[in-house]
Amino acid sequence: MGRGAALLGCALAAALVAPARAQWPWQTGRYFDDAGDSDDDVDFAGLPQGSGFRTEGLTSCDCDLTANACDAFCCCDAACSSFERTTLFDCATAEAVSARPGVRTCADAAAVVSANLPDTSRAAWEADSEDPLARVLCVVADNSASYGDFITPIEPLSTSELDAAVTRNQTFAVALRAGGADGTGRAYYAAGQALNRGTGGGDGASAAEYAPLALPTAQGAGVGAASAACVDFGAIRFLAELQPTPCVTYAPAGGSMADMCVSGGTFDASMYAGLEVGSSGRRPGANGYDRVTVTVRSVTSVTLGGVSRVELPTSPVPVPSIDNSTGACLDALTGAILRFVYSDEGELRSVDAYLTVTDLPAGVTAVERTFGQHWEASDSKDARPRSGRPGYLRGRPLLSGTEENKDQGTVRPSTSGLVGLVTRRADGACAVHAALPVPPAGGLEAHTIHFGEDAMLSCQLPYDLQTLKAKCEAGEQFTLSNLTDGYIGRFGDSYGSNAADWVELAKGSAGDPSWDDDELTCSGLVVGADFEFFHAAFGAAVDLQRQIVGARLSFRTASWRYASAPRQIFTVTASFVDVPTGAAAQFVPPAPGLFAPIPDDAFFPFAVGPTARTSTGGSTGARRRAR
Amino acid sequence: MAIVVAQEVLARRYEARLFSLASLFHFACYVALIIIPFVISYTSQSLWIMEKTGREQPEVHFHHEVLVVAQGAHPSQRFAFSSSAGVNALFGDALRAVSVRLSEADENDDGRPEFLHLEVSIPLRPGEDIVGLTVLAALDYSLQDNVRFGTNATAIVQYAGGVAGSGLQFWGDLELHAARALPPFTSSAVGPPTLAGALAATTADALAPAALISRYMAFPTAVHVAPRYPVWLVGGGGSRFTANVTLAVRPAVVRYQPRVAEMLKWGWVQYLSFFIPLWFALRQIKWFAAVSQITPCRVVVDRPHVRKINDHDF
Repeated sequence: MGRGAALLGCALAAALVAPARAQWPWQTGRYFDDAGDSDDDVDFAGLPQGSGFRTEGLTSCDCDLTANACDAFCCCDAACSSFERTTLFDCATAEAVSARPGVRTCADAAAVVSANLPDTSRAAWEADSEDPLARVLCVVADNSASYGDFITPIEPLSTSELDAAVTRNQTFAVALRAGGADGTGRAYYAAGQALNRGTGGGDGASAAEYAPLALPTAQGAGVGAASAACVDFGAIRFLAELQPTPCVTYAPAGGSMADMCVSGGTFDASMYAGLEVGSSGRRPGANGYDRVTVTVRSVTSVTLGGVSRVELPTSPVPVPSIDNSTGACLDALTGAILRFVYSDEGELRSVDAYLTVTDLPAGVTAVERTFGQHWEASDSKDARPRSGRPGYLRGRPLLSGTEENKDQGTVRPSTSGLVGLVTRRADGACAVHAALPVPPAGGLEAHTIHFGEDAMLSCQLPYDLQTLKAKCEAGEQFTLSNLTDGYIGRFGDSYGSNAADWVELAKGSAGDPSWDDDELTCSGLVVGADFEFFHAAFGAAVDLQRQIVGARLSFRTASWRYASAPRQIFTVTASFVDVPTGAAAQFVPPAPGLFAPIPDDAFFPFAVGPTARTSTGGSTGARRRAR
Repeated sequence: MAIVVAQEVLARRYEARLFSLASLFHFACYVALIIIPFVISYTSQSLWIMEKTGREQPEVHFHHEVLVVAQGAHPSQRFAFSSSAGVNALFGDALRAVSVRLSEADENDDGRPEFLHLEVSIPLRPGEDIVGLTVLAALDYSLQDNVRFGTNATAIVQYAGGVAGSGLQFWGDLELHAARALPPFTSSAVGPPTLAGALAATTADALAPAALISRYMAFPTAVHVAPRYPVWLVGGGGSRFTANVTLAVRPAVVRYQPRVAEMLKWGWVQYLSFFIPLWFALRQIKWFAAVSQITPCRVVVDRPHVRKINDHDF
């Protein structure tokens, strides 16, 4: 039956790849007139009819896809003539191939290579058959006890039934409604839901005034980002933390930054002044709809490259403008850090903005900007981040602190951990004695030490000959002047009040350099610092925790022969050394006794147990509960 | 009526003189019994197993030696950095203060990291762009379960975006490629040199990525990075170029030479599989030759040495 199957396959394939309802040039009407259709009446083939199953005349024809016309290669199309089916389409001469009950199923005669029928049977077949082999494989009588399983078509659904069906099956309509920042009308923001832009309509405002809050932002942190380009106006989503992330805004193709340097554009810092944000997912006009106003906390003017920074008044927030003499874009927004405070009921309480503006010279085609969003619970007073609980988690900042009270051994934890060990400018030069802004901005780049992450952080010493000689002769080393922390947290949740939670950072000495005028060489110059953190496992073997058990800092020195350009690299390395621990000890809790233990004070006047001796009062029952 | 309370076998023995055809045939059968199984099992290519295959999680750690070479937008523009101060001196103006972060993820705490993460941050001056990056990171690679094997390795990550980029996200697998089965005990000396050794060059040209890669590829047994899904983040103009490289250390299928004891154990089974049926066959042949006197011999029948007992003795 290979040939017949191939033909059927071709027919089905042709039907599948055919364009659906193509509008041909000669089809001028908008609708078809099917009043005269005769062969395409809906036929629920194979369905139970009345009290019994229909077994006669039940046909289906998957390739009959055109009403009132013969479909090419469709052997079961009633609109096709016998000549078309048997001659043009080379269909089987017998009944159409079908698996419906009560219908003869015949093989294509051409596909039967040979038949070994007895001569008597062959003669009988040949005598009354047009094609002696066509009926060889026909089902003449079906004595099956069952005609199969059938599904009764249901009636058209009501509106409520349609809604119920949609809840079980995702549709584009449902997906778009869920993913869109359309405000679901809930009295709270769900995690990941886009914030609403606040409208002044208040009660009674129409829902049409609703709009998502769209602000300049970065495309997300690092991994997975498809591009480093900034998003001119992107949705801000509830609880979506975005660390201060640099991104680049490019001049439009064929244009310049001046085209974007307009009020209301992506460089307009004043968009944050008085900006209103819906406090919840309610639609404008709904009962309880409220909004919060963004408060601009700081506006910092930074020169391109971040060399200098000037604090500007927060009101009025500068609007970008074109300097007609130079063509520069003045006060362009190059950074916005937003701080959202929310309640545990999912409502916004306040929004603070920390803005950075920069004058962009004419001709600049790309500018780096920094955006970030921080979410903070309203009841998170004195909150501090942990790096694990209790042990460190890999990739979390290493906790550090400085001595607070030497007698009590308490430590004041650093808010940012070991950060700023190497602070470098955009060109890679070491920012000597630079005050590090937090978060880093204005071209200054700082690095943080993370637990379990070996790092080699470097910058180029910016000394010229005179500076190098002066510092060398003065014995002034470049030795991490920003490092004031002398303690490292043992655990990821080290407490400053507990001295046992900290280990002291053992610092080596740098020595004094010496200058050789003849060789223009500074010997003993510190060119690097090496941190070594020793960590070990502790706790349950199935959930091992990590703690710091030692930390030390040593300095590397070298002789630097001055060349025409400063090429000396200052490198800070951090290495985490795993200290092996002993084999895990198995702890088996003592088996519970058969009888309840006798309370310590059961014979109080005669024999006093340790608990009873130290107890100052209270009933026996209370003490028992305390135990 | 009597019942069998014990039984013994009386044999019929076929004896021949030491120097006779029967004796010669007898000894020849023994020699054949020893030699033929060996010949068959050897010629069927399964007597001595030359190599085996095992699967195990390799132990890979960073060796804290890194070389970074980035190609600028202009063909003559290059940025380079290494973990060796001596090598950095060779780079001249191409030297950049690159920051490198290495971390190993060992989620199941078995001491064998499943993922290695490497982050490279290259500071850029205004007008500088990067269109391609090559990172070489030295690794220590070892196997301990099926075979004790340790080698120096270099993870070579190379990608050219073609256009200015702000970063590279790179995911790849570390794979051990061995031209031959690993011997049971291998010292690290047979592997490629450490990256520091490869960097022991006196000119910057010798530090070109192609030269280093060429030297590394010359070793028949080496660890290579199979790139999976590199993503080039298009967009220049930023102040830094950041590459995040994640290398998966998946269980390796290791081909190794079995130890002598393992080889003998396997060979003994192969030998025995032919020895036993041959022993049975030769035994039947010898019996037939003796019974039918093809090999002439004398027949000796065991006689029971028992006292005659009358039935009424019971």
